[in-house]
Amino acid sequence: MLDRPANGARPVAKLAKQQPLEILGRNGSWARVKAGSASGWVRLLDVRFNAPSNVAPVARIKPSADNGIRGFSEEDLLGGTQDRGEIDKLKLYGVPVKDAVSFARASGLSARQQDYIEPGDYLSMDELPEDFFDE
Amino acid sequence: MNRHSSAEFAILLAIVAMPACMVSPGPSQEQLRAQQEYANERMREATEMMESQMQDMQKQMEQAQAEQQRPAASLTPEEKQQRAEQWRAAREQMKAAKLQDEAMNAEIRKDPRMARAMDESDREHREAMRKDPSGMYSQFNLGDKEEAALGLEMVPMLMGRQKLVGDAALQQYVNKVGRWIAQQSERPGLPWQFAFIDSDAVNAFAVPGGYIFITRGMLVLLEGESELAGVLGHEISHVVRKHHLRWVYMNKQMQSSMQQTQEAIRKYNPSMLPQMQRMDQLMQKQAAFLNSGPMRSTLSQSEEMQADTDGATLAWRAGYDAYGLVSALQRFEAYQRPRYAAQQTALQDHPEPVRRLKMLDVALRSRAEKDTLGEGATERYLEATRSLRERGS
Repeated sequence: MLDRPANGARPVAKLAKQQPLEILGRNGSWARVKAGSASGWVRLLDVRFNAPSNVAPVARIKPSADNGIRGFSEEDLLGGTQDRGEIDKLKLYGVPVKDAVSFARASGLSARQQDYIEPGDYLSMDELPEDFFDE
Repeated sequence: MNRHSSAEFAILLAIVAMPACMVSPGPSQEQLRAQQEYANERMREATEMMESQMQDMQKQMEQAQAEQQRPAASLTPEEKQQRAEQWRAAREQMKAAKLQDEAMNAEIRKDPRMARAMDESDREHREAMRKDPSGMYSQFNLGDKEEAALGLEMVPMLMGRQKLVGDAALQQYVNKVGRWIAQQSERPGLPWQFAFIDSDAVNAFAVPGGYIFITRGMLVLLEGESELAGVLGHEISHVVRKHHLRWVYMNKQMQSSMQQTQEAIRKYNPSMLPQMQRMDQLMQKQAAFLNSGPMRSTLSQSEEMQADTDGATLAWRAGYDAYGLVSALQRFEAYQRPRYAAQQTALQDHPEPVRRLKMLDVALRSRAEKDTLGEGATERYLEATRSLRERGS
């Protein structure tokens, strides 16, 4: 656990593997955590969240290459019978670009330029972390 | 794997052999029959060849699948060591290939004209990608209107019996966030629509043309606008990169080439029709087989990873914290964990979300830290979705 969210930061406490933490906040790739009386920063990727208890998964049709639907996960596509009325409602909720722009302005979001990260920019086997393929 | 070889052979026969019977001025009835007989014979051979190829392939796949489904715990220490050795060898090979590549590049660049030409072509490539990042998939272009119409056709299949959530304020909130991010993409002109559907499932979907769906379960799981931005960015990226269109195009192309061949056969040599239909069935079976299971997933997995890195970039372009998607994936991993624990197998060491997390982290770390920071908007998000949480608890 470090005293600030940066690579060269000073360690403030030593954490054991699987030690339960309370997450207080996040700053980019760092999470601010509390363990017992100590608090500080750890890398977000070193934290695993507890499984939520109140979500009931339902798996029906899988999105697949055949049906051309892409999902965030391969499971839980909804399926079932068609309902045109519901689809017509889609348009009711859409917003024109100008509304999205004024929402962003009111929220303090401003557009920035950045190229995509192409696999060639990072996906070099010899630079992947040693444990990348380990269990 | 060359899945078209024997089929292409048959099509070639249909095209070459058939018209030859027609254009020669006066073949006798016997000659014509002999030619047709010859073509039928070749077609029979091609069908048999394809059938036996398919059987071999099926056997190999079943073996591979059985290997994949072996529980991780059943690996012997020797096998584990063997696997580790294989990875190490693969890494060494990649390293050597990279060094060789660099050396060759350096050699070529010694000539200043060549160096200039290489820089120029790099710049052109980057520029082209900036206009249309779908890259090689851009050959599957439909035109925005047609793509949107195709997407709209898919919506009923996706939505099924599920209803849209009737809360107009929340629907518009999701639409504003989504539309703002989509405006930062290379396809701001699509009729982007974001729909929030009443389902406990934790997921989000995209269909061509810019129709994006997110479930109530997902909105409840997320805890910040930057996390929502990352998830919507992921779905937007599928549309921007035209990932869906590859399949639509491939299916269509195969269907139309089979149809053309069948028409030609019906016209010139109807006796070949049953063979042709058998071949058609075989090809469809083979295509379905290749689209299923382990064969299919390699490419679609790399598309998922691309949508992750692009999604994080799009969210960042829109002013959000790029790590919102990492955080969303972590919540998703926790949600999926109980289900994955039961299915850990020998080949697939990592459940899908963990692999995606690791990859996304490597990708984002290739950027300077300041180029990943941005708005998290946690409180605004929690406030906007409060009614969902209250109902859920």
